[in-house]
Amino acid sequence: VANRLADETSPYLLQHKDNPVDWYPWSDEALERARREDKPLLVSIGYSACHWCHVMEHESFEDPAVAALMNDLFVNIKIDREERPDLDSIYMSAVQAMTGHGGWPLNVFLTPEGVPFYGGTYFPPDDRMGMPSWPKVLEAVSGTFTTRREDVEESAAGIRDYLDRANGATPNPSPLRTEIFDQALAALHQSFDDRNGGFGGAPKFPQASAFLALLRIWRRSGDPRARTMLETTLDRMARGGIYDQVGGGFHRYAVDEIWLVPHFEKMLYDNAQLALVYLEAFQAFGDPRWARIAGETLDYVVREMTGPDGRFYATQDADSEGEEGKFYVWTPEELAEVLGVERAAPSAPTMGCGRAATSRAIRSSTSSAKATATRPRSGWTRRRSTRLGSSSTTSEPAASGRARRQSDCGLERDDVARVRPRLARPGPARLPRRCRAERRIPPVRNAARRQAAALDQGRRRQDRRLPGGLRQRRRRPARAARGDTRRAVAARGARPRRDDGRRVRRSGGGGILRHGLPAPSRSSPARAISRTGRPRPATASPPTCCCGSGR
Amino acid sequence: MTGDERLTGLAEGILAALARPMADQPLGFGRFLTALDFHLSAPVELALAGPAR
Repeated sequence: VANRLADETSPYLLQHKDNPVDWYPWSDEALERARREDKPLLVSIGYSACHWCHVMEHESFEDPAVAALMNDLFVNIKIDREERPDLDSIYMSAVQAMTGHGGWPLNVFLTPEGVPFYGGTYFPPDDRMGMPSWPKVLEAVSGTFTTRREDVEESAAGIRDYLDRANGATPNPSPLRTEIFDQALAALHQSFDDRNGGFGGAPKFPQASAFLALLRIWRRSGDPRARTMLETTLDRMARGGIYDQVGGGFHRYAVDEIWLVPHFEKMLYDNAQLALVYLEAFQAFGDPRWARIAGETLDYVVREMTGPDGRFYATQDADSEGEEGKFYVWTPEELAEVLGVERAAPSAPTMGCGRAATSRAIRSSTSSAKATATRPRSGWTRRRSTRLGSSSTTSEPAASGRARRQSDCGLERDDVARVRPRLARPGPARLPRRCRAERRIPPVRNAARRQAAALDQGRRRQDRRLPGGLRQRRRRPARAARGDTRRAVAARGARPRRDDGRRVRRSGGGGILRHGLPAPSRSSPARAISRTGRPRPATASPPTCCCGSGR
Repeated sequence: MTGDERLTGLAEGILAALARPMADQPLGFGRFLTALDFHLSAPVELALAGPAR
């Protein structure tokens, strides 16, 4: 029997409509029930293209025993972050403050008043990788809520105070001088990975806006550090598995520091911005490789991310036919099947495609940096075309349309339009028809349009109540809505603010229950909560195995 | 595009408020740095010459 999510329009919520979990959409009904029954709320946030959201659903939310536990102990709410980015932002901030990291699926526990007191990301169905099992987390959270209510309330007040401070801070204005660029460059250089490009360590996200800023800093100052950072990063990304070597376009991020193993979902906003980055790098440095990457990325967007009416899809799922990265991972046998044995032989090492220690040969159409540097261009291009033809005709990624969402044709459309004329090359990167987002969309004729129309209707219908009983005005821009929501969370607290010494710290804090969870290597439950409810410094972070937050 | 000075003032106010974070945490303020570059750059004047029609 379908649950309450069956009446929703969000693709992500609809993915959970057959779960035995008694999910509520974000609604007054759920909040009222939590208050009436004095039960904590479990808010679970994700999006339709997110691989680890699917994994947690299959492992835990589809399990009748786990669902029974969830239904018994909590009032359960599912949120699509693409539908409610304002709520996602609040609870992501809270979990980052508690644990020092974030990502999706995001699972956060709230008091019946709607204030977060514990949270995390992906949890396995049994103790694994230093993480406690999801059922143990549920029981520990519920037990603490029942037996140590005062501590929970105190922790929640601290988190509410943190959110209040984080959103209410007003920075001091400073003069606008070019020295800002010098300082920014120095800061970027400090976190730059000389060997692999990018900033910091794993996981690595393509930070397009920082690359665009670096280009401008280089043009302004001529500082060779800026150019080196850019060229190294663009080179490593273009050679890595984060770039789809066959179909073009960038995956969302790499789980490692060498850009090799990606999380396979592709986002429109990443590809629109990265096409612009590579194009501007080509304009600045004249390297034709960057023009090729920009062109291939735009070709991909036009081929697979553009709907029949000219509007863009927002995401492409990491999973295809139920398997993570199925269309992007090549075994030697598959290569030989497409290219023939003779042509596959030289291709395989170039692509890093060989037998690996893992159960799946090797993951990718990826090329190692060393191998790619010496690859024969003309032969490679021909083989690439052959493989692309193969993937398009036999198992095209576009077929996995369940997770796609229509974009609003804002930034992305502008970026694509800006890049196209600068390429000055003939090719397929041409938008089929002008985007009609500014005008009224004509009557619905196909599935994608039906979905978009349903979303619009749903938004009009939706009674957007926010924590604290405030109501969000319809169609208000997301930024304003987010601010209002945060204020709503903060305003409800009657508790006095803590002094600086007791405020929640953004990084490090373990959250009220972190040390109390029955993790194999964690502290004993007896030390579950510090006396003050003050977050403790984090112990070692669990492995990043959810869709990490790019913030 | 509009020549409206009020818009310039608003933009300057936002940039000035975020000048410190832009310098200290550039990874989070890439677009702001791009806007600042645009703001601090001298305008380029183009003259199109040709016969009047």
